Amino acid sequence: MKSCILLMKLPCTEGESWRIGEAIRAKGDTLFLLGDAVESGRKEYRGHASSIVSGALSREAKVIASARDLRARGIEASELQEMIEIVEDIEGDFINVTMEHADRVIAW
Amino acid sequence: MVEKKTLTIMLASAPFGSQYADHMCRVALRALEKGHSVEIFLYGDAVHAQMNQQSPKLFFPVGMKLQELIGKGAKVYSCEICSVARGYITGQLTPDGKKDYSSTKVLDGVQFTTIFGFVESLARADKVLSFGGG
Amino acid sequence: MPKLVIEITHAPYGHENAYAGLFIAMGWVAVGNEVIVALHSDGVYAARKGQKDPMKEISLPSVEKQIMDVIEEGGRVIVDRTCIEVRGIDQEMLIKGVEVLGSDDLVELVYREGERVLTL
Repeated sequence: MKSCILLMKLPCTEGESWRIGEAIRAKGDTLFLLGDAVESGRKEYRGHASSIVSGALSREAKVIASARDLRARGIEASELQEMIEIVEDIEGDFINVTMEHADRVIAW
Repeated sequence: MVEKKTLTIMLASAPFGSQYADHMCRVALRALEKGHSVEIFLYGDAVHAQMNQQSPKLFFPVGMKLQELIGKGAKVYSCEICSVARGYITGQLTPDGKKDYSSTKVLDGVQFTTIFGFVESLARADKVLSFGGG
Repeated sequence: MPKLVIEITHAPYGHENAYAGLFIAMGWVAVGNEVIVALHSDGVYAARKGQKDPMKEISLPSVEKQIMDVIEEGGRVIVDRTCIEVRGIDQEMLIKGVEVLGSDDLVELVYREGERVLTL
């Protein structure tokens, strides 16, 4: 089953959906980072969501971050983990994946 | 040609206090532009998105975007009991047995429904998304 | 039968989330569908029994009553074992009929199997 996750916030407590990353299992799955969640794509980020992004990348899933939200927050592309794609029309990409490729989607 | 599918979206946060309504509007618009059907349910504090005279000078124009979504064919349903609580409608029974959903405060095209309306929308959706609430 | 998973991560009363999620759950099961209400993180507090008359105390409807109604209609209400342990809550303190699942199993249900998922 191909999965698509839209992450819009950063889990800040020990239990708060740190394991949502497990919905991303393999190549073919996609993790979208929108809004505050773009912070979790940074190499230096050590918060709970860092395992979500690292886990997704290690399983060869696609991780896609919002260019607009990165620029607004002053995060340079070079700060992000390798292999994260930065896109302008993240909502368009998200709809393509959600409606045409993924079997399931969770927005968080 | 993209196969038309139905996307049902629940919004649970009010505009301006967070970015959830912004994200929702953008995602919903792209879905419509790509030829899909979009149904939106405004729930809890998110019913404030239906107010018709929003004029944020500096924030993402949620009211305007919702209006655009309606104009482009999105079905926007608002939780009746949440709207009554927050003073948008009375929802009282009129002499002809219908509920009074009239309001001078709500954007044109917003439809009020009970939780069962949302349940039906969830059941017919191909994909379901929730925005906000936390 | 269409299945819905509702994940709740906020404690009841301080935020509307638990009430709102359970309200949807109730509507969903009432028309004959299957629901899983997954409580983890602070959401587990919603499953504590003995919530005494919140309407009288704090003018908010009882989440305990909602959970009982959802279970009575055949819905599943599940708490995460680790999250209750961390919070010093044991099974005897939970509303009757609430299930306790280990994190792996709950993750499986919500994040691996769930197809229609609402997060609150």
